[in-house]
Amino acid sequence: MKITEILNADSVLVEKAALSKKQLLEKLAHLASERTGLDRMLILNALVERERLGTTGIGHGVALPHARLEGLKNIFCAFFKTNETPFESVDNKPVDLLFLLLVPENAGADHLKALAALSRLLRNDKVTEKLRKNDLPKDIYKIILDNDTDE
Amino acid sequence: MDFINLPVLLFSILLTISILTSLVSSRVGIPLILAFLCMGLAVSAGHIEMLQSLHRPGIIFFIGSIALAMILFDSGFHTSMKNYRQNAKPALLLSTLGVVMTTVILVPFVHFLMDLNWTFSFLLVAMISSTDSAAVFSLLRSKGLGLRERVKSTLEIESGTNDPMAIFLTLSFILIIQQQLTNQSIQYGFLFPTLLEQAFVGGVIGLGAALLIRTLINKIPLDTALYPIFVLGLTLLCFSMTNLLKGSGFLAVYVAGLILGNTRIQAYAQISKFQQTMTWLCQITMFTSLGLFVTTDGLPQILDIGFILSILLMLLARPLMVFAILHFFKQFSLGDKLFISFVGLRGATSFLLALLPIVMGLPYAHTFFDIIFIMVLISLAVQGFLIPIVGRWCGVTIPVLETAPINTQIDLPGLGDSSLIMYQLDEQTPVVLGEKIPRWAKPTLVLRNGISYPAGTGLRQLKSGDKVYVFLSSELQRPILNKLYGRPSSNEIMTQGDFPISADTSFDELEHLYGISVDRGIRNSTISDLFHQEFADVEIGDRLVLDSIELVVHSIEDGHVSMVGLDFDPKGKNSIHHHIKLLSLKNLKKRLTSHQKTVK
Repeated sequence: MKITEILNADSVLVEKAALSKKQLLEKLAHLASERTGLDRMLILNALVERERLGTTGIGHGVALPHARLEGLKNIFCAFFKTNETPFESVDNKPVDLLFLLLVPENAGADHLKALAALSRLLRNDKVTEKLRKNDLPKDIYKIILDNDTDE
Repeated sequence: MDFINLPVLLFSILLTISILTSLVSSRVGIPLILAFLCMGLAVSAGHIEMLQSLHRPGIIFFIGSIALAMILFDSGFHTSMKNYRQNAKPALLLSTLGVVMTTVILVPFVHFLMDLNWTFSFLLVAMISSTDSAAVFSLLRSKGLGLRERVKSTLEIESGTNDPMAIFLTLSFILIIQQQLTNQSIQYGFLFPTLLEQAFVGGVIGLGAALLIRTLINKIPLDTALYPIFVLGLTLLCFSMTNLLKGSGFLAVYVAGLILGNTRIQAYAQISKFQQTMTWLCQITMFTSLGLFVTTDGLPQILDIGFILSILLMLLARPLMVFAILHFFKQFSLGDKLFISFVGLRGATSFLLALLPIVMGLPYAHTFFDIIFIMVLISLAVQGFLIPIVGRWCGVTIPVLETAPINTQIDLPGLGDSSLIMYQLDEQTPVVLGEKIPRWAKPTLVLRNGISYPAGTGLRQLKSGDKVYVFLSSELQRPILNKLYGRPSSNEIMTQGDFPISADTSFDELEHLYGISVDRGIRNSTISDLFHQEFADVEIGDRLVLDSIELVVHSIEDGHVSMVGLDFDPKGKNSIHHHIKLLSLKNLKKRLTSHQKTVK
């Protein structure tokens, strides 16, 4: 699956603010709520519930909070770049690059394929280095577009 | 005096150069052994007269046997008993039955390809039937190769224990050949009882020797520098006694080493260091002196057969044997078996055994020696260099840190269980990052910028670059000290790209989270349950495939799986292990997806 199939250019956000993990998740839930029309608390609860089972901060400053939601129509994906935020990551390092992924209940294999594609992209050190250097959403979207290989 | 000085000059130059080659290559062990081998070969090819005076098979065999005994003692000494208990069964089967099977599989090829009679074919194959302990050890412990514990200790135990079997087979066939040559009636009946006798006597004396050595070391006050030599002497005593009593001396020293290495003994650190150095010295001696015996003129004629046999051994005999035996141990995954098949390194033992026919003056002896030389060379070069790559491929490697925590242990004479550990701190050490230190674990001494600060002299915060000395009064404290003053061990490091999840998560929850299809029978059990059900002794790095996700064990607490990683992209890791596993699942997945379709 290609990331650009699920990520719109206007869902790339850069915000330099000092946040906590909770505030960061709230912000993502808020954004997703605006775009999808689903209740903000519903989204937030699903994300927090997933974090409770194990962090989605997969190391090297990268996190992929995700959840499967009842009532969601299409896969929603957003990219978020922020100041280094403590995220209880596996390597205890703060997080500054995030992909939010929300999938409808009937997404089936697409859910896992999307997660695989996102983690594959962020596992690439060259890509994360570029993402960290650029602050304009349109540049960031272009970097994602350029490195979006479907395997 | 030049008759002494010239050879020594030559030898020392070669020695220095070959040791320096280890700097160039990060894969320390193998290239170094190869360098020594080539050194001997160079001397042999150059027909250097002075060193050629060493060209007496009897003497070299004598030196080689002692060297091998020392290497095997060290192999045992550095094998942890805990791993031994867990993996002894499969490993010991590989080292006994496995050696016989390897021989039986390869013999017909030798018989027909070389047009050699059966007994000689058996002799040739028996000599190459065991894996080399020193090579396997130095390779598996080389920097940057983190291996799953089960695979690593199985290979180590196998290589440490299969030499006696190969030696026994070789000696048996030499006896049979001698009977044939003197037209005696050939007797096979003695073989099996002799094998049992050798193993039994070897094992018992090894055990007794270990207990005796332990008591002697702990009771007799000696200059610390003398302990390692004392142990060396006693080891050789054990070796020769066992052989005189018709036991396997090699097995005895291995058993003795295994027990001694796993008990608290006086001057453990010194002995351990000395053993490592001795092992290197023994390997250098063995490979250099054995290299002398290769008749370089004869090599071209046997190059092709050596090459073919190597390939057959590597790709047919060993894999077939490993798969057949490990089939009965379901804790080994496909990747584990592939990797164990691949690490069938041949080395010093085969070489040494190849000297025996020369010593005994048997026909074909020199040809055999050259063939073994080619096979060892190919094995060390090909397998040695490819192991890190194949390891990643088979999914048996676990991530390691670039630098392990530096710690040195200093034994305190007279205080049996206690020792002083030195840690070199860096910016990632937990105590430097502000971790609280319990009272008992506070440093006894801190060295900073060359100045020593004894306990209680007001060093509030430890810094990167400090050298910290901590008193260890019981082995139980070591893991906690390592956690505080060292870096996290490889076991605690997660693989990037895996999503950690609590192993207490039930499959019901997992299905809810990711919409994957789970077999109804396991829906109420947790991830941890399934791992313990599938693996008798589950360990970090073990994998289970579930639909299109792989679950990887990340951590184990109190014997129970506590965290696992979810890998959504198993294919992305470019490993044969994953590809094959997924292939075999293809049918199952097809069934599942067609099932899902019909539901929709």
